Amino acid sequence: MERQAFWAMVDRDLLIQARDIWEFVFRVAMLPFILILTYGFMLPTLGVLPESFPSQMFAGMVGMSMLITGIHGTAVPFTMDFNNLPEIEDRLLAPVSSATVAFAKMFVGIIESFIGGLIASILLMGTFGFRRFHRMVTGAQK
Amino acid sequence: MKTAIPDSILEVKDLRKTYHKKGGSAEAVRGISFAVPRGEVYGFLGPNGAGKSTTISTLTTELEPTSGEIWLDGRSVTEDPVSARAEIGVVAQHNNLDRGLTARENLIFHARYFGMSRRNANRKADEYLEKFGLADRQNDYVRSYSGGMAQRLKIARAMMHTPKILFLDKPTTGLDPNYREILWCEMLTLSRESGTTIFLTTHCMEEPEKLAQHMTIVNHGKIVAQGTSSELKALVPTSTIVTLRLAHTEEGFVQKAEELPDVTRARLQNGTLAPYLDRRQPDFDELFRWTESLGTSVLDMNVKETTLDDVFVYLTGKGMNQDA
Repeated sequence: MERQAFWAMVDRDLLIQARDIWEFVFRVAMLPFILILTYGFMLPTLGVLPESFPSQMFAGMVGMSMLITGIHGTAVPFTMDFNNLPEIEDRLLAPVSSATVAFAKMFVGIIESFIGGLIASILLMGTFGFRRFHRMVTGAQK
Repeated sequence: MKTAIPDSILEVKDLRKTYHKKGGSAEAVRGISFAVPRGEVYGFLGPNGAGKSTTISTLTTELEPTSGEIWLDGRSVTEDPVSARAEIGVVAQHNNLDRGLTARENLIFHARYFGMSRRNANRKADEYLEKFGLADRQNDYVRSYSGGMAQRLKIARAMMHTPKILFLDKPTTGLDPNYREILWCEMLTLSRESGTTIFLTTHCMEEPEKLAQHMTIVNHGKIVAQGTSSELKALVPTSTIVTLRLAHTEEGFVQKAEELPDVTRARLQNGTLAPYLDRRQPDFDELFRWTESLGTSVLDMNVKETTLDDVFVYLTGKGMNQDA
């Protein structure tokens, strides 16, 4: 029953997230967009940072997007559930351990963080073009 | 495994719950024991703050009791709360429906949390949506539901896994009388069909008086009375309650009333004096003369049959709608 309930909880969270897909994309894309704008264009254009800086910040930007998306996908729903929305009660009263409920939420957080990383990568590719993006990923020189 | 009393689904023995906080502790439940007969509607009554919600939270495994035993159908709830949850349905007082889901999805996900296959969950959701009159709004998000519809859906959801016992925490609060009637009719039919016992907590005495076969009245975390409606009413020395609204009142009136012959007890609340008379037919002339002798007059008088509310007032000296 634990496994069945676990997947039902994962399904539930993913369904809710899928319904707010554009809110999710917008939220996840905001951070890399601001970072690209500031560190990828403005500061290198002003000469404060070297032109190669966007390549160096690729890993950090994707990592940061994944981290923040993961936290947002896990901690924020839990905070809301335990404070003002008692929706989680139904899951906590299911015949499974509380750890299963927590693991389901963490699992969804992990999935969301990978999607977050993917969105950040797509944004970078769209902004800098595929060739430069490829150099960022592989670390190859011009 | 414990050998249960054959006809009881739930047994509670010396249940205690103490909340520890800075500067001391508060004992919300003080050693209560009772047994709920199988297949009945059981009333668990008391004023706000009497310990009803804490008790229900421990019975539904939301809270761990400080001490005591809870047996559900012969299995210990305190030792194995996870297994016990499979046999329990809970309808909370507040709206805890999943607002991001439709009514149908609420039912299906609930069933899946309880280990039902998608196919069975869908079949049962169809059945319950129809029974609770929600079929035409099944694909609407529950955030668009009215209070009455949300309450119906909460009950349908709690029944999805066919629990052995359904805990209802003030299920009809905020609903109009017509809707209450419909809701109770649906709940009772469903519980009869599935053999589910209903454990009803409320501070409103009318519903358990009509529906519950057995009941327990609690106050300050302790049981003050247990029994059937008629057994509880028999605790009040009269079957007729007289209430007198007086032009002015003094604290001493209660003592003076209790000195009257045939009056076993009296209470004074919001300018209304209620002497509990030791006989069926009150002598109204005598009562009027007595109030005049107190230097006051009767503005309004009410004579009614004893209700559970009167039982509670008689036992605790407070009204059901007052805080414990």
